[in-house]
Amino acid sequence: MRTWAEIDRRLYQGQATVLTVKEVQDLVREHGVSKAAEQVDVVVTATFAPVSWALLFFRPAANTPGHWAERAWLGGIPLQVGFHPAQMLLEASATGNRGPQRGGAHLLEAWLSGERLVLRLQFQPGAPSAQSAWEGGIGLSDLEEARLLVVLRSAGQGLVAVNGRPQPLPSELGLLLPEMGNAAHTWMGCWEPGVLDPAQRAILPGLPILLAGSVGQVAWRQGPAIALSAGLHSIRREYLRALAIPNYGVGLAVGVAWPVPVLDPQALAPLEDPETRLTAELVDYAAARRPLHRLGEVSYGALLQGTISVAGRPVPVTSLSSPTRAVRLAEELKARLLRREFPPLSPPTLTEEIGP
Amino acid sequence: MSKKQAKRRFCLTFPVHLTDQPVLYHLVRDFDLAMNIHQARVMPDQSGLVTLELQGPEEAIDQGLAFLQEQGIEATEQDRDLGWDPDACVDCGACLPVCEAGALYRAADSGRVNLERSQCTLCGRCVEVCAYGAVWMER
Repeated sequence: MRTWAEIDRRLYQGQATVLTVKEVQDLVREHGVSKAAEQVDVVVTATFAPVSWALLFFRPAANTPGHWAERAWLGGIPLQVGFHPAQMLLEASATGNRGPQRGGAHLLEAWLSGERLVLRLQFQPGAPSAQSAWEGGIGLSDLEEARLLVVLRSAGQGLVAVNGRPQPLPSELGLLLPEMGNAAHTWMGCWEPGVLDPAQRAILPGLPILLAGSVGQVAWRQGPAIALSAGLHSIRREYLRALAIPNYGVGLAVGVAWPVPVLDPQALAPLEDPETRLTAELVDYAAARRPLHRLGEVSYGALLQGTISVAGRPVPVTSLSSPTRAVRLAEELKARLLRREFPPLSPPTLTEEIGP
Repeated sequence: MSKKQAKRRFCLTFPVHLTDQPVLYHLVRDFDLAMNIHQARVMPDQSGLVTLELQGPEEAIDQGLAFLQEQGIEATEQDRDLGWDPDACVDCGACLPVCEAGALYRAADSGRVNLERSQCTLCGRCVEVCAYGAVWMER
């Protein structure tokens, strides 16, 4: 089977076969898993869903008096101040006194839309500056460094939640309507990188990805948790969206396109009839006990259909993920790979090139 | 007596015992009001829901409303509008199951979520479930 080096060579020579998940599904249906795997070098997949964490590490331009800042706020939302001068950290889920419905994620959107935000600094009591505080407007172009780190979850099996109690239940999956009024999830089935690389051979630290339109890379992977980073300046607004769930919190949804090298003949097996082979666990979030009350399993196909059956009753499926935006981003990454406008895929940590 | 013409939109909730009675007919005959029914769901043995626009002199509309209230019909004025930003919508579809009127729907070809305003009853449930701020109530 192919090695990383061979796949990169074929990409560089313009001879690689790069297909999206949807195209590979058609190929597998026609030729079977092994034959299809022989033909494909890279499967491009994409996701667009809320992430677990999103942190922006940034440093304002040198004319901002960041030295001796003890506390800082951006657009009224508290920042973390680093140990070295003017190093700031904005957390997407942080909220301020403008209410729980606006948070750090909305500031990221505002900056990407070209807005300027008020940065307020409060200095250490022993600071040599004459004033105890400073306030000024800064925009994205005023940042010398700005790197987004996101941690997301991508599992081979999805999680779908219902709410069995008579009151609505806000959650990270969206509002769970009372009396099992909906079944909510954010899982993207056969588009999940965790489904396409369960053995953790392809999606490794250093793998370049397209994070909200900006070329970034995988920072780490530990089971279903995958961390990614990319420069904020190249991120595009359409693939980065703030979300607010009343009485739960503020989050950030990002689009990510993943190039998954086909390193193993069985790599494409999950794309053979994913509608029935892939499943999600169905749980009742209203049950207070942990681990959560498991109600059963539902197929990816049933989630796609939009209605699942819970205790013999049809329950509509809702999701906070966006297949339409994910597919658009996958097409963009595919085009970039074919035009050779993307870094080589081999992780720098691989040492197979080191000979005797 | 003021003859100022007005056009106002209401959502009427009919109690079960009135769903087989000709009620709206009286608004036309007795109060000389013109009406444009946007949506109606009135079934025997169930409480009913009608969204309509009333046109006529301001005073006649008020008198018509008083008549409806005497009959036990709850009238909620729809003096707001649904704000909708298709660019903010990511097509997640969380709003679809709560939109009983079917005003929000997914286009079969593109997978995009769209709003058909003429079907919207302004119930506001989509606003509660939209996490991306693509829909909101406008006054």
